[in-house]
Amino acid sequence: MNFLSRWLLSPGARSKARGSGPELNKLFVYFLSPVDRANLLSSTSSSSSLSQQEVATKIKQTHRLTVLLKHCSEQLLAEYVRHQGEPFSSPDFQPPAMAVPGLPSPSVPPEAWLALSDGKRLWHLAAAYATLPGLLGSVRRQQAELNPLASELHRQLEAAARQCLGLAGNLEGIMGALELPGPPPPSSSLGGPPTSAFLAKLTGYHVCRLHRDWAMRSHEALGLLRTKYPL
Amino acid sequence: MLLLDAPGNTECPAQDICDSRALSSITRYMANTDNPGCGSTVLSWVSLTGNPAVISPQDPTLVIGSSLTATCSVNSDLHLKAEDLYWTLNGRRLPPESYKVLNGTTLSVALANLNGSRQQSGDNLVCHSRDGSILAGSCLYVGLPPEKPGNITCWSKNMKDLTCQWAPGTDGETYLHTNYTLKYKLRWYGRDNTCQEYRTAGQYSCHIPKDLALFTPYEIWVEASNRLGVAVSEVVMLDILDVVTTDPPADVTVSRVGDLEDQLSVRWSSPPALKDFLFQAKYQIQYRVEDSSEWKVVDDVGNQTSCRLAGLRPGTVYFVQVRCNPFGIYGSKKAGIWSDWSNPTAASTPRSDRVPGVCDPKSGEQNTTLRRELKQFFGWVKKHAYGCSNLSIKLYDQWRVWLQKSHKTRNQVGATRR
Repeated sequence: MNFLSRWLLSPGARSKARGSGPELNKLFVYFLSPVDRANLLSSTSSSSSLSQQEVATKIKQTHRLTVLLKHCSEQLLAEYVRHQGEPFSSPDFQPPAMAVPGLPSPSVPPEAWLALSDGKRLWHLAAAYATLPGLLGSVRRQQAELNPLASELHRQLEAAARQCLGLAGNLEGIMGALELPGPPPPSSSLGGPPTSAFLAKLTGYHVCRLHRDWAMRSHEALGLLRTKYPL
Repeated sequence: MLLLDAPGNTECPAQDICDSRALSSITRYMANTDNPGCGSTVLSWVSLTGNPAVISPQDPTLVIGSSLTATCSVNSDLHLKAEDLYWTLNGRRLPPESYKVLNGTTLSVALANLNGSRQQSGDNLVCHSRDGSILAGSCLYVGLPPEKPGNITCWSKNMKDLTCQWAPGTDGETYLHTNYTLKYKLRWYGRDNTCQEYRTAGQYSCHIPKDLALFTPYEIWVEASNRLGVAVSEVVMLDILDVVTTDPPADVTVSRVGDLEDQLSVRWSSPPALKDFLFQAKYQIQYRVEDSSEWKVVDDVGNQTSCRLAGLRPGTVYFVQVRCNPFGIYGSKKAGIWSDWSNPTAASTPRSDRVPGVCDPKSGEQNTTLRRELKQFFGWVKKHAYGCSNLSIKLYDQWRVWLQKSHKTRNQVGATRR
């Protein structure tokens, strides 16, 4: 890529190019390699409603939300296990892993996760956060029966569901601005209520743990995105 | 289909295999183990047609001290033997002596003399395979049925609402979550009502905000229920008008009474809410000095809105509070319930000017008295004695001056004499 095409593809130049008239654009495009030409055309012809600045701001905001989520999800997991009793609350608790219906656990291993494109990563996150609010709500309902007096736990579960909804909305906004495809809406069926108290405790544990794992992943992904779209 | 990887396998199943299995209707059962090659999830995993094991009974409720025999039946697909299993209760391993192998895939455990549940969500009785992984669980609820709640006391704020408090039976410890419901009905009307707003005045309280009738007795009682049973308190009967309380008096001011060092005047206005109701308010005042915690109560204030405190210490800061009792509402002879005390108002008594002052030397005091006496004497002489008309207090003063002078020279002479 020559100097001229590199400059043309930079974020600052793109906004300038938009304003300098079609003749100038045609002239610049002439100097580009075919690949760069295609890249430039696709990016300048995108009619995203948000400017680069606005997208970068939204990404920064969302990243800060993931910092909050990371912190709160750790607290929630600790508060949750505290109320279920041993062995849930012991540090070396080994639960039987179970598939929580509708929620994929982060099945992509860390190295593969980092190698994914931003679009793919956001896709996975959006899929997870579309289902987390409903699952956290179910856990709250179950805990209302199992631990009726644990008001702090109930409060944290409600807050977690709200935060996940917020993150889902933000992700949708970012993906829309970057013209990335989003995942299909989650199926409404989350399975029937658990048949036993122990299963309810276990399901809740898994939801809280997954909530935490996804919070860590989203924090990572938004951090990477932020370096690519600096303010 | 069964796929069992031994723990320690460092290979991660390929992503597409994971997805295809997810698509199948077989429940995925994965053992969770940490492995650097695979992230924090998924290492060895097992596909099953159902749960790995089943414990019976599920979520039983028991009285403290009772015994229980539970069984754990493993799914035959797992190829685990009953001898390979063990039990834990709340994380603590149960002794193998209490186990019994019932058949190839079923192990039972005998629990005796159970203690009250450690947490309200139930004790966790868990069946494990030999390597420690959890196969199934059941929550035990061990406790006591509730005792009759008692000591129901209620009050109505300005005849608008009713708040009741009660005490749980014994000390309230049933080890199980116990639900309390306050119910009330008009004595001769029949329909039960349930109070909705709980914990407004402490843990065992409820608030009925509206739709209360006056001049008609209510029946009020509390029902306590938990997994082991129900207990109902005695019924309390009351008329709202008999348990009326009100807000504390408003605009409490405390001021000095002129220069009087030992008195303060307290003034207040009657609580505004009861202005329209025919009642005679009774008031009480309590006061204390700033650095004491002992309150003095003035009981016989009656229904005036002012009172004078006497016998106080001069130059002291006092805190004063007033409260009100709506006595004889609508002509009844009964007293109501005392309101809260008003916020403390502070005031200080004046300090007297006459300070029992700095000690004058004794001789000085004597001189003053002596001089006064002499003055009186010379006055008398002038009046009653014809001679010595030149005698006056001035003569005395001159003599004093001479005395001081000669005292000095005598000292000086003394010094030189040496």
